[in-house]
This record gives sequence, structure tokens and C-alpha cells, in this order.
Amino acid sequence: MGIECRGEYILNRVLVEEEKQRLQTQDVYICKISAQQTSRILQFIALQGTEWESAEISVQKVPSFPPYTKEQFDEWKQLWPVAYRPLVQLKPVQLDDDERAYINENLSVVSQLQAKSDSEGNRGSAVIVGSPKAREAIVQSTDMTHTLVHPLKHAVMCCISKIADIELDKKKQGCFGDQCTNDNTNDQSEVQLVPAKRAHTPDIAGTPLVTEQISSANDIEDNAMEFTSGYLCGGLDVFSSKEPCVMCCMALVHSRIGRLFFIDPSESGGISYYSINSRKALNHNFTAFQCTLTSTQNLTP
Amino acid sequence: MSDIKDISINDSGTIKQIDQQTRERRLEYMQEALKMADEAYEASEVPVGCVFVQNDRIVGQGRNETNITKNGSRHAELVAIDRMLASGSNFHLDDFKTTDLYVTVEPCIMCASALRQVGIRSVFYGCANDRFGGCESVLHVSSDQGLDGLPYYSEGGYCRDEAVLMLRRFYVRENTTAPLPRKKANRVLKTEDLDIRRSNK
Repeated sequence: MGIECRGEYILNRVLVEEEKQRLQTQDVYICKISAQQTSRILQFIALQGTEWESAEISVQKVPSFPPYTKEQFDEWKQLWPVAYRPLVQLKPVQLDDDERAYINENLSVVSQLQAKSDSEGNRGSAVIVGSPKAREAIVQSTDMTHTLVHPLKHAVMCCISKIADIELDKKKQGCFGDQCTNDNTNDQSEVQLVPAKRAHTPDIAGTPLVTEQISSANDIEDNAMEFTSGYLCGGLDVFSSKEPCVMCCMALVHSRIGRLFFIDPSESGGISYYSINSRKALNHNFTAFQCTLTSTQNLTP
Repeated sequence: MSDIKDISINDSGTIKQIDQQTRERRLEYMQEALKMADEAYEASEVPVGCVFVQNDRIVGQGRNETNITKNGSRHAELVAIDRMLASGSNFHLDDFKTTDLYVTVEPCIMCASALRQVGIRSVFYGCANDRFGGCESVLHVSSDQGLDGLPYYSEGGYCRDEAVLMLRRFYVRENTTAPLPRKKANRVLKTEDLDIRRSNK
């Protein structure tokens, strides 16, 4: 062939736009300063050779946290790339008289239950699980750790367990009826590989919950079973005299509750310590209210 | 179990090199936990299983029972703890101080807190739990300061791939009895990235 092979070529990929831009920016090395690190920085520069001889080291104070206000952002962005996300303004809680009465009623009952339980030598909280749709309490429990000599039988765990028993009863009863004629042993596996409808944050104004499927509201008065959503504690309200611990808060996430109302906060509680009710990483969130008793019993979100 | 007693955590929080025998023994306990997970799988529960070990003896075991009980808090660890503390059992609350947990999946936030509150000594698990994990993945309930109960040592990676495989087998399965069965015809059980050497059950 006429073409003479003269040797190997070195192939350099042409830089893409982004890489070019990066090259144009001056390299900046940053690190936190401490006595030990300063000597390491000098060592590092010494190792870089001649092109670093004229390198300047300077110590600058920069914010280590993101700005919380617009003013901080304007000031800090001069020093350091920072992102500013204004706090989400939560809508003020609007409660109609009925709902307010339902919440107040349950909060006073848990207070009383707690006082009674305390007088019997227990230390934990008292809890009610209620239905926002029916505006009625479904189950209640006090802390059972002392009675049952079991450190995990907190009131929340006991209530979740009671709701589960109601659901099981409901299923059992249903199976004697007509709908469940082709019930079989696989029935246990009926459950939720398909995610249940996300228990959306209930609209405080009291529109019906998506998760609830009560067809006729007439006969629910005498049957607590009808109040539940059919999927764990989906969309239900939890009233607690104390802020639930981490275990209990996560159990409430697993149970898909809609709202939590608690009276006494706790530094080690799941809401105060970890905001378990609103973590994006978790597959379910719920609204939490810390409730303070006033003469008029106003709720403060 | 003298080997396991030798575990000591140094100042930087890392564990001392463990000897081969200790490691082998832990893998054996994890095989027992995997058997419990398999039982859960057969019962159409999310396949997570666990065993509690004290003085080289299995003193408790459990697996997920969330579906059959319709209770989202009936995870393997809590089921086992309830059985261990049930009246008539020889196991007492104080015994947790000298008891280790072997569980196929990293304990969730709820269980991680429960384990602090009973005072577990240490927790060994198979795979991480990216959605709910309370020992490293989502929160560090096992080691954070100021929470109820006592912090404990936790370490993952024991029979990890077998635990992952079990979960994948579960989630690839179609559930025809669900209210709205989801078609999973296109789902394939992926195994090529897993190294299942010990699956000789």
C-alpha cells in the first residue's frame, strides 16, 4: 500500500466544554486549619515542586453551615459558595369546632390516664389512637413496662398492637360473610407487596381521608372496627401525654399514622432528637403537634 | 464464646482484629438467622430473621411477622425479644448485657432503639437497610449520645449476599392475593453481583 506506517500516535481526547471551564478556574485547595494540619499543608506544597513555589496560603474564616436568613446568605456568599433555601412556611392550622373538641377531649383523657398511671407507680406515657374521620377514640393504653416487666411495652406499642388485633378480628369476621368465600390458606399472604396508598397528610380542615374507606357513616358508632383504615394504622391520629421515644416514633412511621399530638416534649424523643415524623429518607411522614394546655386549650403546631 | 468476649473496641471505635475461629462462629450464627429469614419467606413475610446468642448458645430467635399479625412493628428482633422475656422463660432482662444479636438485615430505626432499651451487648448483621436502617444507613441510633438505653457495638457484612438474595427473591415475587396485584413479569432475579459461597443449606 502507498501509505507508510510511521509509528504510534498518542491520542488525546478533546476536552468537553465542562472540562475546559474547569481548567480556566484557578485551582483552589481548601482544608480546615489546625496546628497539625498547617505543617501538613507546608509539606504538601513542598512536594508539589517549583510551580507551587509562589503559592499563597491564607487563612479565611468561612461559614460551616448553610445560611438560615437572606441577610446571612448575602453576606456569606461573598466568601464561599453557599445555597440558601428559605424555610418552608407551614400553613396555620385551621380547626373547626368539632375537630378542636375531639382533639382537646383526647388530650385531656391522656393527661388523666397518665396522672392515674403515675399514681400507680408507672413512669411512661398514656396514649389514645383515634379516627380523624369519626372523631372518636379507638383504643387507649398506658405504659405497660412496669406491669408486664418488659422495657418495650410502651403505650404507643401497646396501642399499635390493639389496632392490629382489631384488624385481625375484622378479617376473621369478614371471612364468615359472603365476600370471603374463596378464602384459602394463602390468605396470610394477602398483604402488602403493593404499597398502600400513601397516607397523605390529612387536611386539617377535615376533608375525608383517602386512606379511609367507610361506606356508610350510620352504623359506625357502635363498631370501633369500622374506624380503622384496613392497612395498619393508616391515617389515624395518635394522642400521647409524652413525646414518644425513637422506637415508638418509628413504629408510628411503620404503622402509617396521619397525625401525632403530644403534650410533654422530650429531648431524647423521636421527634425532638431526629424529626422522625418528617425525614425525607423514610417512606412515610406524618404531622406532629406539640400541644400546650392553656386556659382555652389552644393548639400550637 | 470466649472468643467473642475478647472483642474490644478501641478509642477510635474500630474493632480489634478478630481471629478466624470467631469469624467462622459468627457466620454459623448468621446461618441460623438466615434459616429464620427463610421461614419468613415461606410464610410470605419480608424475609428477615435473627438469633440472640449468649454464652455460645442461641437463647432467642425470631422472624418478621408483620403481615400475619397486621402489625407493622412485629419485626424479627421484637418478636424474638418478646419471646425471650415472656413469663416462664429463663432469660431475664439483665441477660441482654451479655447477649449478641445476629440479624440478616441491619435493624431498622425502631428495632435499633429497642435494642438500646433492652441493653444488648452487640449486633452483627448481614446487609445494610437503606430505607430504614438505624445502625448506619439512615440514622445512627445504635451509637448516638443522649438517647434512651445504652449505645452498642454494631457491625454488618456477615453473609451479606445471602441476606440480599433472600430479599430480592421476595420482592421479585408477584403477590396475586394483594388488593391490587402489581405485575412483575419484567422483573428478573439478579444474582450475578452476589457471591453466594455458603449457600449449602
